[in-house]
Amino acid sequence: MAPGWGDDEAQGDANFDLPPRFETDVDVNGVKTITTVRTNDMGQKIKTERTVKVTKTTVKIPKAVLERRKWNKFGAEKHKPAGYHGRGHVSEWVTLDVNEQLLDMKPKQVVAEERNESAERAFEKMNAGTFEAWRPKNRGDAVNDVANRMGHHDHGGPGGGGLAALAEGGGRGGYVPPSLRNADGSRNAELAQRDDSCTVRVSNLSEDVKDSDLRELFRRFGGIQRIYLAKDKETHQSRGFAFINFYNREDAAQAIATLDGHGYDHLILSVSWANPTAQAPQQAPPSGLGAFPALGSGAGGGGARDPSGRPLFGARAGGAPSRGDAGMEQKYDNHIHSSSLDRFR
Amino acid sequence: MGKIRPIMIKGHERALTMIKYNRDGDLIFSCSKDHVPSVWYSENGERIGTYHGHCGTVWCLDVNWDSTKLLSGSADNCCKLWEVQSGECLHTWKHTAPVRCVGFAMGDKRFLTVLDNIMGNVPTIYVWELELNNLANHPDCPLLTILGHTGKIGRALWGPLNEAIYSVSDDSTLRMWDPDSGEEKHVMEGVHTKKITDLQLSYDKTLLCTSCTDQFVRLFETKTLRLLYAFNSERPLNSAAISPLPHCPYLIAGGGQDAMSVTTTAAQQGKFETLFFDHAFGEELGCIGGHFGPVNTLAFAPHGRSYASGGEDGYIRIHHLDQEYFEAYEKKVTESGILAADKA
Repeated sequence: MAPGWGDDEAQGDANFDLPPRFETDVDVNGVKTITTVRTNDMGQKIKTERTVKVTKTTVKIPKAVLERRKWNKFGAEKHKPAGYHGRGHVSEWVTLDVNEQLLDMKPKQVVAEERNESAERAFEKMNAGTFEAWRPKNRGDAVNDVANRMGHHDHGGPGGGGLAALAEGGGRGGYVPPSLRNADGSRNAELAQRDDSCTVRVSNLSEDVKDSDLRELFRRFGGIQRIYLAKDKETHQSRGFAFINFYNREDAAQAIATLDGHGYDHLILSVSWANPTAQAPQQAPPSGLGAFPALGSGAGGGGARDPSGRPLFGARAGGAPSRGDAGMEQKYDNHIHSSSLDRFR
Repeated sequence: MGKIRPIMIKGHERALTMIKYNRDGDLIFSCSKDHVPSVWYSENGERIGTYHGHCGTVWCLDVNWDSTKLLSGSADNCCKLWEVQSGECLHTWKHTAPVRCVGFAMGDKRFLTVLDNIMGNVPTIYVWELELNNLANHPDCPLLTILGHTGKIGRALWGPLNEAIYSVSDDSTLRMWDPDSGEEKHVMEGVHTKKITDLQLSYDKTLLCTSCTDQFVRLFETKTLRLLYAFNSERPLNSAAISPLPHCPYLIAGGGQDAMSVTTTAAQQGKFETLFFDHAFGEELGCIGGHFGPVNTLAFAPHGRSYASGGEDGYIRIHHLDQEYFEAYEKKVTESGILAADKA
C-alpha cells in the first residue's frame, strides 16, 4: 500500500538514538497501535501513540482496466516507465491543487428560489411558444410605462403617484441592482415586492446566532423562503434581530405562537409579525392615501406610529404584552427603527 | 461541507476543447488548441501518451465502447482514427472544413463527423461507414449527408441504440435526425434563445442536457425531447454534464465570460466555477471554482465518482468527489420526508 498523499511519515533525518516505529498486531476488534518517537525542535523526545482501526474494503476493478494499467507509454511520454503508478504519483504535469475546494451540497435556497422563479416563468413561456421572458425591455417603452402609470394614479397627488409607480416596480428605465434582475436584466417584480405578510421578526437573539441556527429553529414550522439576520458590518456578529420569510402565513403564525417567549441561548426570544400594519389593517391609523394601503402609513413618516408617537414596529398594533425587561424592549424598538434598517423594509 | 482537492494537469499548452472519459472511467482523453490529443489515467493524472499527427486545433474526440480506438476531429480539416494503446494513426478522412464533432455509433460500425460552416461550407453532419478490419480499402465518401441546420453545429451524438442522431447548433435549435435516411425527425426551436454550446447524454442515455449561452442549462428526456428542467446559471455556459449515479441526480454546468472579454475582468467576476444542480429537487447546490479562465468542457466519469473540467486556461482539473457528495441526496430525501410527515 503506497502512502497517502497527506502522510508525512517519512522523516528526512532519521535519528538513530530513537527507538524505531513500532506496530502492534491487529487485535480481534481490528485495532492496532502504532508507536513512534521523534524529537522536536527543542530536542525533547516526543512519543506518539496512535490507535488505528484496520478495515478491509474490496475494490472491484474490471479486467480491461487492469490490462490498461500495464500499458507502455507512447508519444511524448515514450521514455517514461510503463504502467500505472497509483494515486499520489507525481509527474511534471500533475500537481495537487494547493487549495481545497469546498463543495457545499446544501441547497442554496434563497438563490435557487430567486433563480427558479425566473426559470419557471421562462419555462412557462417556453412551453407557450413565446419568449417575452428574455426580450430586454425597451428603455423608451419603460419610461412611457411609468409615465402612464403616474397619470393613472394622479388622484394620489404627485408624491403618491411617484411612490405608486415605484411600488409597482416602476422606474424600470433606471438602475436595477443585480439582486433584483431577471436573466435578461429587467427588474424582477416578485423580488422587488417581497411579500411581507408571511414574515416574522425575531428579536432578543444572542450575538453568536447564525443563519443556520435560525433555519434549524424555524424549519419545523414550514417552508422558509428567506432568512435575514442583521449583522454588524465589521464584526459580522448578529445584531440581535432577524426576519424569517415563510411561504405560508399559517406556518408563520404557528412559529409566533410557539416561539414567542421561548428561551434560546440564555435569552428570551421575542417573535412577532414583521409588518404589524399589514397584519392588522383595521387597527392601523386611517390613511389619507387610500389607493396604496401598504404604503399609506409609511408615506407620512419613517414608519408606522401609534398616536403617542411610539414606533409600532416592535410591539403589535394592539399593544403586545411586554415580555422580559421593559428597557430591553425599548432598546430593541429603537434598534429596529434605526435608519440603517429602513433599507431592508 | 465536502472538501475536494482536485488534481491539476497542465499538460496542454493551450485552451482545452474537449475531455472524454472512456466507458470504464479509468482513462481521460483530452484535446486542446495545441494540436496534440492526450490520454491520461483518470485516477492520478499520469499521462499515458499523446497522439501526434494533427496540425490544427483539435476540436473533438470520441473513444469507442471498449477503449481501443479513438476518433478526433481537427481544424486542419481532418478526422483521424487512432489506436488508443499505441498512439498510431490508423486512418485519416479529409474534409473541406474543420471537423467540429465526431462520434462512434454503438457497435463501431458507423461514426459521424460534423463539418464547420466556414470557407463556403454549409453546416453538415456526415455519417460514415467504419470497417475496422478493412481500413486500407475504406471508402472516402460518407454514407449519408445530413443537412438542415442554419448555424454552426456545435455537437452531434448518437442516441440510444443508434435510433437517432441529436445535434445542437448556433442557430439555437436542437434537432433529431434519422441516421439511416437523414430525415429530420424533430426540430426544437424557441426553447433555446442563443447559441447552444454543448449536448451530452446521461450514462443510461435516457436524459439529454444542453448548455447554452443564454445562461440556461436544460435537461430533456431523450426519447421525446420533453423539457424537464431549465436552470439559470447566470453566466454564458460552455458545457454541461449529467451525473450517472441514480442517488446523485445532479447536473453540472460550467462556462464563464468568453475569452474575448476575460482579460478585462477579475477571475471571480468571470464566473468560472462549475455549478451543481439537483434536477430531482430543482435546486442549485454548490459550486467548485479553480479555473482562471472559462470552463470549456466538462465530463462526468461513468462511475460517477469523479468529474473532469477543462478550461480556457489550459488546465485539466480532475475532481474526485467525497463521501458527503454521495450522501447528500439521500439525506435530503429523508429530511424532506420528515418535514412532510410533520406537516401531515
